[in-house]
Amino acid sequence: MRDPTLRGERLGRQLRELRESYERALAAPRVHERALGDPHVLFEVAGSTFALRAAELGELRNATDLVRVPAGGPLIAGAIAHRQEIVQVIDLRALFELPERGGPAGFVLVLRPLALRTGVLCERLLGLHRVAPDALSRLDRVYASGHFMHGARSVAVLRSEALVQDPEPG
Amino acid sequence: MLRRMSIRRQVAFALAIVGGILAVAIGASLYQVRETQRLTGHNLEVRAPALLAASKLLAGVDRSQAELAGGLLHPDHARTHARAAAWLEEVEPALARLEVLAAGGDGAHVQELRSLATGLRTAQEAIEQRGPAAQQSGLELERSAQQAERIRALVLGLVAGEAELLERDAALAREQVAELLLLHWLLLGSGVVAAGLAGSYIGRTVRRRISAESGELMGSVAELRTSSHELSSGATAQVTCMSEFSNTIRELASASVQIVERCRQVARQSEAAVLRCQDGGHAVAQAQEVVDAIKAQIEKVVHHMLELGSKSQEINLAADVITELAEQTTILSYNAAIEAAAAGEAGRSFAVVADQVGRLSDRAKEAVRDVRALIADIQRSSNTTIMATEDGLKAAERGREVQADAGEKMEQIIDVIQNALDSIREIEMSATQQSTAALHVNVGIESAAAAAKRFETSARQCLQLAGALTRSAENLNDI
Repeated sequence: MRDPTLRGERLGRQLRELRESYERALAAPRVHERALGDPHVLFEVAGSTFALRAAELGELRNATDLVRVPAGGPLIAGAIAHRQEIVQVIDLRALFELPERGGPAGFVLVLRPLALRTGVLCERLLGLHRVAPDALSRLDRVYASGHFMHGARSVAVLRSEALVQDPEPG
Repeated sequence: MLRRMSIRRQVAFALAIVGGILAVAIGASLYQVRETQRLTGHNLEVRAPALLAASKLLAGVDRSQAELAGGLLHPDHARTHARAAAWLEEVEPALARLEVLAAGGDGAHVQELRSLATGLRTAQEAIEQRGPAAQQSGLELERSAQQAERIRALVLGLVAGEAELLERDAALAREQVAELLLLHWLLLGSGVVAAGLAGSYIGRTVRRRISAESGELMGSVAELRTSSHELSSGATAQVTCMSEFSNTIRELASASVQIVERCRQVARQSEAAVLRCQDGGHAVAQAQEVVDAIKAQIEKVVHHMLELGSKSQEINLAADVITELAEQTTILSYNAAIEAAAAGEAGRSFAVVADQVGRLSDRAKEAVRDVRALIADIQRSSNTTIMATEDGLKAAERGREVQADAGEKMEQIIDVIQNALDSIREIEMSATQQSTAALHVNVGIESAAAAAKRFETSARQCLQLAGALTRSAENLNDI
């Protein structure tokens, strides 16, 4: 059994480091945003890792709000209510013919490019990361604009406008 | 048949024959002597008094005649009367004797003699009555003198006859004595001959019997010697066995004494064991009380641990809430970051805040995981403690049962030890009695050993006696 006293000390230290990091971040000098890269939301579907630019997202929600749509086809996982609008949610697993999902659907990423709204169902969020331009490899695909390595993972950067406009198997 | 008789009976038979012959001879002799004595006695008892009476009669007649003659010369009637009375007193018994004599012999003489005596007395009475009538008295005196003379003649004749009879009886007695002597010699000779024949026959028989008996005696003596030798050996072995037996009995008595002492030691130890068991029983009872107290404390611990488990469940629920809050906070931080990204440069600080909120929610999740781990550890420890306390309860209950059983066993042990103590005391008493009995037996065995020793000595003496008997039998066989 681990020592609870050590646990408490570690937690207090982490909080202190968190506060110091927060203060350092606020006090840090401004750097060029382009050099840091755009922030991307990394998520996982059926064991594959994908990324979407944060600027193209409208909201991140729990999948518990998902409502199944009768006769919606394999691509349409359901619909959610987003800011007084009904937004369809697509299933990337069916779109990319991925194998069985690795777990229950946890989140819905609401895309908002070009004032259109579409939701993407994902199983797990991996965080928000800035992707530097030199780390991003360009791809000329219908649904993917590039990819980069996040640790040992190969992450595909999805085209949100393609997913919103033509959610067909590619 | 005579040969089949024993020596003693043969000797007795021979002695009986000789004795019979001698008895017949002695009987005949006694009979002859008795007859002779009877005849002689008769003569002495009858004729001798008759002869004496006759002599007295003659003397009385002579004196009467003289008195009568004197009375006539000097008449004194009183004196004469007295003398006549005295004469009659003397004559009367003589006459009675003569009458007796006459009854077995010549009665005519006695009748005549009696008539003469009567006449003489009559004459004398007449003389006394007439007194002074001398003439008549003279006549009477003369007549009485004649009668007296006649009496004298008769008495003399009677005496002569009696003398002849006595002579004849004496001759007869001599003849009878001679016959008796002859008979004696004949019987003595026949007895000697019979004794000689019987002695010869008995001698042969005795020699034959002695020869046979000496043979048997030698055989018997040989057997006696063998038996005596065996008896001597047996007696020696018996003495040795008795000695060993006595030693064994002494050892047994010594062992009994040791058993008694050991029994006493064991009895003392058993009494101490009973006291210890009683102390043990008290200790068991106290231990039961302690176990009960421990059980109560363990039950309290179990109760508290169950409460702790319940609280842990509540903490888990709270952690779930915190986890949900952290999740929502994470989502909120993402949304904030998304909004900041949409705001561009203006949302840079807001992005920092969103990032910090996300990190904070991550930290909150980690903290919740730590809390859950802690709660899991606590629950595991609690479960382990509860199981341990349940085991402790079971162990306490079992310990209580074991102690109760130990208490019962202790009581049973006390009973067993008490019974053993009683048995040991009985054994001690029996061993004491056995020791005493062994000593008595030892005394008896020593007496028996002494008797066996004496028996051994007697057996050796018998052996020596058997040797002597063998020699005697050999000597007897040589006879």
